[in-house]
Amino acid sequence: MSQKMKQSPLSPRLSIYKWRLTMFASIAHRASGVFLVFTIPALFWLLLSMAHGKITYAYGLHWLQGSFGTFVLWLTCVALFYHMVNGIRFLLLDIGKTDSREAMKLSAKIVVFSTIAFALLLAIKI
Amino acid sequence: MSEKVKLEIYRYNPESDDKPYMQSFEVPVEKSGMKLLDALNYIKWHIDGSLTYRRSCGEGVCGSDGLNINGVNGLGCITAIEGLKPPIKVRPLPNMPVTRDLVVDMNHFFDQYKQIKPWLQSNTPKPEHERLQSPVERAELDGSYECILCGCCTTSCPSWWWNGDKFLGPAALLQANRWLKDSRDDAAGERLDMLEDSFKLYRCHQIMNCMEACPKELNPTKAINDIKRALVKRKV
Amino acid sequence: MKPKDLGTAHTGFHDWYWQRISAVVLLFSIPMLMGILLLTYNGNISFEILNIALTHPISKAASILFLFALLTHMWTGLKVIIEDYIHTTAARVVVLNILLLLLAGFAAYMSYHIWTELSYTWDCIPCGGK
Repeated sequence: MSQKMKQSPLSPRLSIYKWRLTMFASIAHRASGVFLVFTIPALFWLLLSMAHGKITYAYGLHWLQGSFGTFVLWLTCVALFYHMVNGIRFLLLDIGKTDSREAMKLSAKIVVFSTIAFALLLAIKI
Repeated sequence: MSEKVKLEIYRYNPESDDKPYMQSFEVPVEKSGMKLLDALNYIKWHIDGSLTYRRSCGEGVCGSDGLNINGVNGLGCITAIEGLKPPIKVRPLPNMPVTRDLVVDMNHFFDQYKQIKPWLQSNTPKPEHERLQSPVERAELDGSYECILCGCCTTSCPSWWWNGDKFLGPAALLQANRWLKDSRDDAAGERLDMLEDSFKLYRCHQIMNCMEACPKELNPTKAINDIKRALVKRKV
Repeated sequence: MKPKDLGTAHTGFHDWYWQRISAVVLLFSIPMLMGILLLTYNGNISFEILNIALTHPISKAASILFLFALLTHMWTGLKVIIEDYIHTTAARVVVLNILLLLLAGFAAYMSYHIWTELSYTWDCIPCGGK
């Protein structure tokens, strides 16, 4: 009886599965999306508030140009760049383009490495 | 003195073990091109006869020895030892109830396969001989018919890990697409009705582990996108 | 225990479809938002120009359209994540409805903000006023 009651263990999954670039590209799309859910509405609100009043404009600009504001702006741009480029990649797959095995792997590489390049470039320029 | 390769193998015996554990073995590399299944056979025949795993044809046709090899799913019989970084970690297919050692309970996987009704449904009367297809119609099945249902793709899919009770998984969906594409099948409408579900189909988030894992180099991600496009065509 | 096949709910298509439609709208509108923000950040857009550009009726209408594309995309994206990781129906119902309420509240507040050109004085931040 006790033998029968014993439940078979579940074989390990996430803890042992090897990370492939396509898997990373997918989870990074999700992570950047969750991050943008907070920053895009906030920045949209900030920009509108800045457009509506002179005092808010001055305070908003002061905050944006401060180190924390600059960092938030940089990180949002990087997350947005990734989410958009990988989003285009997903949209192309949806309409049935670039969906060979090779193209799927290559496009993941392009998306991830172009985001790294963009992040560095923006860090210098901003 | 021949070269030796180290393996770490997932062990679990429901009669004596409380918990699964990893056990190390050393196996001589006898010939170049030696496959992982050869190493498992060596252990079973010369070191530890209690090691349990499935295998049948030994050449990538039957789909019995799907395993998680160094973190990626694949078939033991066609995966060469040479390309693998030692110690080679061999585990059962992920997210499955372990029956013993590397043998997992595949019932749920095949139940999901049954859900997509993997047989020809035709309205036309049974012909005297076979139902004919043109070469073009037959070519539509390329990339689908090669699937051997080894389970490497479905058990590599995180969406299936989290929602495998409902999400049909890459293998069943690739097969569903195979019947949607078959010129002899007349049940496309009912098949799409059955698939149009937030959990059965739309859990696929283009993670593409299935495509990376498939030992037959098929592309279940593309097959799932084909189904989604068929649904758009029907609805919009 | 063996999970039963409970048939098909015929849901999921619209979430998937509207996620993509809103994605295309955002693909064109979000770069404009970020562009204006970065130019303002660099001191290239003065208050006068920003005020004229964003309070014009056409840009107000565009802002509303952008707002609703953004909300659609946020809702479909977050819904999929919640469905992926929360596994009991009760918890899903509660979390999804809290999210819906938050997004609806945000939509109402932002529409008001855009249309009435809400501004803030530092005497009373939450109540706004010119």
